[in-house]
Amino acid sequence: MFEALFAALATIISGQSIFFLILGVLIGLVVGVIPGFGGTVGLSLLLPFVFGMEPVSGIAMMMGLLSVVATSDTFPAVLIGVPGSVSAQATVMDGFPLAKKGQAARALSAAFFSSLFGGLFGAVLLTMVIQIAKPIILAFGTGEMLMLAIFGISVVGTLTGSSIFKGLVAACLGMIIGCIGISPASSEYRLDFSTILEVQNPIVMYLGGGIHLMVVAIAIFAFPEIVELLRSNKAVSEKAELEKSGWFKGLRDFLSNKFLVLRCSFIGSLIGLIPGIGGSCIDWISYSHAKTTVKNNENFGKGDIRGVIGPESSSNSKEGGALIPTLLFGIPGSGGTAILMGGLILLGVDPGITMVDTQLDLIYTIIWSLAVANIFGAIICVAMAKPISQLTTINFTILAPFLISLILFAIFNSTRSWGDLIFATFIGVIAVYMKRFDYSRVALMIGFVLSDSIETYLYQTMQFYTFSELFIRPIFLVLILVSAFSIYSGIKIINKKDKIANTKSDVLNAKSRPQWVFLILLSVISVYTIFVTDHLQYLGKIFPISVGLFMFLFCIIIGIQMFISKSGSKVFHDTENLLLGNTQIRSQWLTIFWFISPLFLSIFIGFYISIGLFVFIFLSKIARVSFRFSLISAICVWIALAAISHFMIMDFPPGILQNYFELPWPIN
Amino acid sequence: MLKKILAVFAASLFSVTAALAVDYSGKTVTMWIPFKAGGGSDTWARAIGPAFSANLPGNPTVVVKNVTDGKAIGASNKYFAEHGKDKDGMVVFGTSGSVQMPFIFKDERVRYQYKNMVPIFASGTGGVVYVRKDMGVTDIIKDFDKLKGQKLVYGSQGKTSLDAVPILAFDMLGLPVNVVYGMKGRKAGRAAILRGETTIDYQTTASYLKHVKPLVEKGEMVAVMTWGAPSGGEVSRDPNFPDLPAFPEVYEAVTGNNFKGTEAKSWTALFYAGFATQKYVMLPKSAKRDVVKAWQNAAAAIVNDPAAMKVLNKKLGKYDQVTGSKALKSALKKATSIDSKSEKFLQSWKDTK
Repeated sequence: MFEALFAALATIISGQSIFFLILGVLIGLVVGVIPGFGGTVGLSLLLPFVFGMEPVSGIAMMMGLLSVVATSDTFPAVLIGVPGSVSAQATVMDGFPLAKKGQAARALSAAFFSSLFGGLFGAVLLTMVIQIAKPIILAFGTGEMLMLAIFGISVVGTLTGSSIFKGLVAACLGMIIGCIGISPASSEYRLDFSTILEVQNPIVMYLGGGIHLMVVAIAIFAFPEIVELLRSNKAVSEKAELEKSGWFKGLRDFLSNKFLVLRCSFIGSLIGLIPGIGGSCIDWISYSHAKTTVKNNENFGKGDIRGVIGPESSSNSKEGGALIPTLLFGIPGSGGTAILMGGLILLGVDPGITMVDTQLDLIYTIIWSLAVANIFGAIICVAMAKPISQLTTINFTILAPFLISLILFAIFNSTRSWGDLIFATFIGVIAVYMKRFDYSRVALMIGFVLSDSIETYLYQTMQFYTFSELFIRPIFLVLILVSAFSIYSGIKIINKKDKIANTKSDVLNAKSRPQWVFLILLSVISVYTIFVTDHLQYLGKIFPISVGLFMFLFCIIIGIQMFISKSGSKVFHDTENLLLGNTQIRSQWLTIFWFISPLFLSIFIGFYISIGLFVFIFLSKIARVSFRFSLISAICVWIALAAISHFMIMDFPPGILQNYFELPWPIN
Repeated sequence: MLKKILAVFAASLFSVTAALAVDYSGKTVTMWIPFKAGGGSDTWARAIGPAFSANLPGNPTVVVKNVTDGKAIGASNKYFAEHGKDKDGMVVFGTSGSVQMPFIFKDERVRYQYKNMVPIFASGTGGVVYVRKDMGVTDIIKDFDKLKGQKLVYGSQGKTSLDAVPILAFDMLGLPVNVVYGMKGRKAGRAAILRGETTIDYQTTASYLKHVKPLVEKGEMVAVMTWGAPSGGEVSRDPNFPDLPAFPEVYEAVTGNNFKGTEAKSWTALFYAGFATQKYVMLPKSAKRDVVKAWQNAAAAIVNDPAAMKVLNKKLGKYDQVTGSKALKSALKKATSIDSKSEKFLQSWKDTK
């Protein structure tokens, strides 16, 4: 075994393979940095080149890319509060507040070291268990997956804001958004407005496919942050001088939390190992784990470095775990490994049960590529952390048009449809108010991510098992205990928050009309869900109707709380009150309008022209920089979009103009 | 004599100009794939793309464009909205069973018509049904009553997907199979039978050979039948698995009826759409005749080139490739046109599931 192991290392680092590995790493870094592009998109970009390559080089290139995406996606998460790919969702929670404190370089380097460790942990685990993993994977049946999903939901308690009911409403809303599209058990279209609109209406067609994860993630996290930064008209970092020795401090943070890193890496690999639960909730589970198991967790969500270290260790270790079912059964454990498998097939390497017996050398090649790529990726990222952190000292109004263009592009890239942009805007505006009134956005995200798993596995578990069969399954029982513990710690944390909230409540809270309007809007959504799903088959409607009923119930509870509470109670949380009297603040709707103005423009002249024009107008009129700088920036954006359009074989949404005139590429 | 020479000369001149008429040199031809990158259809398209590139006049660059706007149905509708009247064959369409099935089941979202398409190249596959060893079944016909008495559970991705083929087949055999929906693809179905949660499953030929055959050899699973393969208008034994009976054969042996009638016809239509000729490269009907000819010639050249086929078979597993105008048209017709009686039957059958 060891001989084969080191022979594989020799093949990787000698000859041309290492060149392709580094090429993969570099592409992976870029892909991870651009929000909306993750390992899935990156690998699909590589596929045409992989075809016809020599297998070891092809594997090295794909693994190089896949291994570093979860490392470099931390850059935008920390610097601008936008997750670079789905595996950086939880990093935003504390990484971005750290950047606001001027500690971006520290957060980034701590994240990179954790990520490196997680990646190597995954590689080691993969080496050790690949030959014995079969019974472990098969021990996780639908019952266990259901409990894992429920465990995922149970962490909402530990992550939510000060009002548990607001958190629960948000989680229900997330699940309702997750119900949009085809129902898993009855294959019916749900919540696609087909009850009011014609079936072939573009909106109905779009919703029939469900709303893409990235659309929700960006709308929920990035949209409100950018609106807020634009309103305050400052740089991301509240300090003009960034903290010195950020790099070294990050390493020290990493070292002093080594057991947290180890635990989270283990969680990541373990959940990655089980195909079917998906990587998207791993970050939240390990974030919640970090929050509940460390001492003095009051600063979580406000810039605690451990809130970065935890999810970053797990998000990278999951790839090693996810590779095990991919290679062993040909059943990928994550979105990235699904495409990797497609690539392996193109290379003539077909993962499956016989691979462990017959092609162990190739498996070791994959493992080494994973490890070596992680090392390269982390070195490059750490080296770049400090210079790139300087971005956080630039006035945000100048950065904004570029970021807005990037985000709109990332959203559009989700399914390349107008619907992506429309629904992201809609969800984004809701998210602005969720942030303002302290409805947990994380809860919404978790509800959304797990909605489908809970519904599917609940139904399948009931079909596959009787109660007595379920309750003799040891892993199932352990997971019940874990979830119960997670709910218990959630309640404990909320009680603690209550005490803190009560001491400083007067600043934040006052009765307000927008608060009521928002609550009524949420209740309307819940009632709407109940009514429009009622005509479906039993299996198609039971889940959305139950969620809708719960959501309505929670809305009523909040309403009662608001009705009977005096002004100053925590249900009236409204960050807007912090800003009262501050005349330098821009109006909320004005900034939201700026955000979506390029979309309005696109309706008439198409996405491509409108983005560049938007950058130009915004820079020269609002940011008031020189005409030349604005013009050059707009042209750069156009060139970048054209390059993407060319390489990604992508057409941008046309407008009315394009309907009447045939225009040359890339404007059409 | 002179006349003859002139005629030959004229003919050759004509064929030269005809060949010249379609020239893709320096151009980029797009394969419009209504699925996301990395999936089965995408892999298929990326494998045959270079083969077309090498065989089309002027050797254009062939790129794959994954359109996922509105999922398979929406992206297929979009192709016909944007390229349905194209003449030059610069953007061709790649379909698969998931595009054909909603068409057969008359999904109201479908806006494409197969009669408006010209098939150029098609790839087919087969499917193998297998059960867990603990069912105690070795021969489906002999042990049929034994199989019928077992707890049969099948993990399905939805009744109007490719899974309509197995579910209808189980129904026709009278097997009391509990169909559990919500599986994300055939891979999830395979995982479920490995865990012992389901007891009967099928995989397409390539996936069966790779992932299930080793288990059959180890004695964990037992292969019982195939869906068969088309031969001369009938569905007969799959040449990849000559020892396994095909479904129509099992049906006749078990029920004592001939494989005829509405149910059989409906099943056959589903089988053609989902398996026998599952993935198509197509041009819109508006394409110029020369363009169609150029593409058909390229397809024929690919199939006749053993080196290219070796590469394809290696990348895609053993698929049956169909080319030639006549064979394709009849295959497509079988896959997508269905008589009104069968259609009615399928609609009501779908509602009872």
